[in-house]
Amino acid sequence: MRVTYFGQACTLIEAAGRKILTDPWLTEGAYFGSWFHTHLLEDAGVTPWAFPKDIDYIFISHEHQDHLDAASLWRLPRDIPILICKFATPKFRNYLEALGRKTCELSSGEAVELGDGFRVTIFATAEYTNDSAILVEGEGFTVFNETDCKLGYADLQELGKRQIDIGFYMFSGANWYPMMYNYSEPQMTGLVRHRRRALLRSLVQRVKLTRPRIAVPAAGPCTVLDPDRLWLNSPERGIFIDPEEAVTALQSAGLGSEPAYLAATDVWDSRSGIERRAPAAFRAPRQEYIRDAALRMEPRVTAMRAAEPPAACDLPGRLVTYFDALVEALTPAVRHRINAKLALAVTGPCGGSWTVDFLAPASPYTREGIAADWTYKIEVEDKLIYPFLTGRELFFEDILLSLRVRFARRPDEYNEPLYHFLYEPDPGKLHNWYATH
Amino acid sequence: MPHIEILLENLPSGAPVRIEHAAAAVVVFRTGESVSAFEDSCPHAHWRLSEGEVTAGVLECPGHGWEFNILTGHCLSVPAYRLKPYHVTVSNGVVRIDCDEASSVVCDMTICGKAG
Repeated sequence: MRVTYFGQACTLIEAAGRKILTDPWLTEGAYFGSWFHTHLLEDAGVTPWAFPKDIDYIFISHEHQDHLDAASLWRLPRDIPILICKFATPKFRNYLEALGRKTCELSSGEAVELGDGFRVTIFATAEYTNDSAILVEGEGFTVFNETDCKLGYADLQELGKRQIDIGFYMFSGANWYPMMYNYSEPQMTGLVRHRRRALLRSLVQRVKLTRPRIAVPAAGPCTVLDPDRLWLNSPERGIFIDPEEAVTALQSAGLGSEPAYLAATDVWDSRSGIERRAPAAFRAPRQEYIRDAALRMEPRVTAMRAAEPPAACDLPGRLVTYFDALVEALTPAVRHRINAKLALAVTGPCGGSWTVDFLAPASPYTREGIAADWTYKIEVEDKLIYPFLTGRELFFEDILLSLRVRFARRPDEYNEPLYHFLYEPDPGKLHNWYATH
Repeated sequence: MPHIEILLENLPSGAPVRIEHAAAAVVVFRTGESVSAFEDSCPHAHWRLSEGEVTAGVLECPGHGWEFNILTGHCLSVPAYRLKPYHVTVSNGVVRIDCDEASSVVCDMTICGKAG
């Protein structure tokens, strides 16, 4: 078996004469030009157009752009079947099929034999989200790729019995909390420190439970190369952890697994072990690499921003219609669980201010102005939110992950039902979830 | 009612203890002379809370870092959640945890003084 790592959750796994590619994110600047790889793939000569095309299967864990990248898929042959987890709603499958891809949905935990002992098993997350991980077996070896997926304890225990040879793990924060909230500087540094520590502890526990022979910190972080937001890469102010820091945490835990830092294009081969193929720069001190990459990428980041289409001035009407329809479709039980007044401060020439009141007795739920008793506030540029209001973009969380949005909340508590609504406001799915949670 | 009995002196202060029961598993916390007990399962992804760390009365789930007040079971990370509590009494140095479900106790007898 041979596994080539291409950053984040992208691995090319070869065994028994077959190849499966996981989560191909081969471009840069996901989420409105904000997310770049830990090391720029093109520095290692990896680009979508130059990427090998002789692949038998693609696995995509979930819809986040650093896992499902339409531009990367576009360069891969259309007849390669895409294996996905069967989720509660068809949204993810429909999106892939709208891109012209053939999908094959597998039930969580169901092992599928693809010939000559090459088997894959997909595991679904324990969370509301549509996320999944994959186990691949072939030639007597086993590789596990957790992607970003938060698996349940029982699945991880089961994986611990599968004699994993090499496991790729999420090890870093991959969202906007707490950095994009309106905390004071001392609060922020305290929260960041706390979050980073919890993330590394979680990594250690998941490796301990799944017991791979080799553990590789893989998915999770991004590098932000926008000159105005380089501070997000700082260990004091951001939750995007350096993979070598994760290796150190695993080493300190003294587990039976061997922690390994793999950079993009490094290879693990079941016969020869780890082959270091990544450029030497990928092993330079990370902050130095980021400074250099930011300088080189600045013109491209600027060009990406300049190419963003503006919002149209029918935004106000569209926004009210969009949120009102979504809230109206919810069951009263779900509206009460959300129990929020969501303030939307939309900046830019077509912007304005609105509040979505989930407990309003009837439509309109969305009214102009910021209510004095708002509980959650999102400040976003008009051109970022507009494509979601028109239906051109489907996954609203992409805005939040762009790290170009500011948030505030009162009280300072995580409103998980509101997050679920923003993530996937499917009324049936929300109702069923909250009937049991 | 089925219950678990433990000698208070056998419960370490500040560290969670897991006691396995035929129908459920219980995580027990001792803070001085106070004892609390909950289902040993995080409502997020069902990790064993007994493998977490307690700091200043707050348990951090080892799985994904959700935090809980060890006296009340309230989740501090996602306030809508609360751990399933078990009724606890302490008398004459013996801790009694009433179990909801009619099943026999199979706890580790090196920890449990008596199982009923």
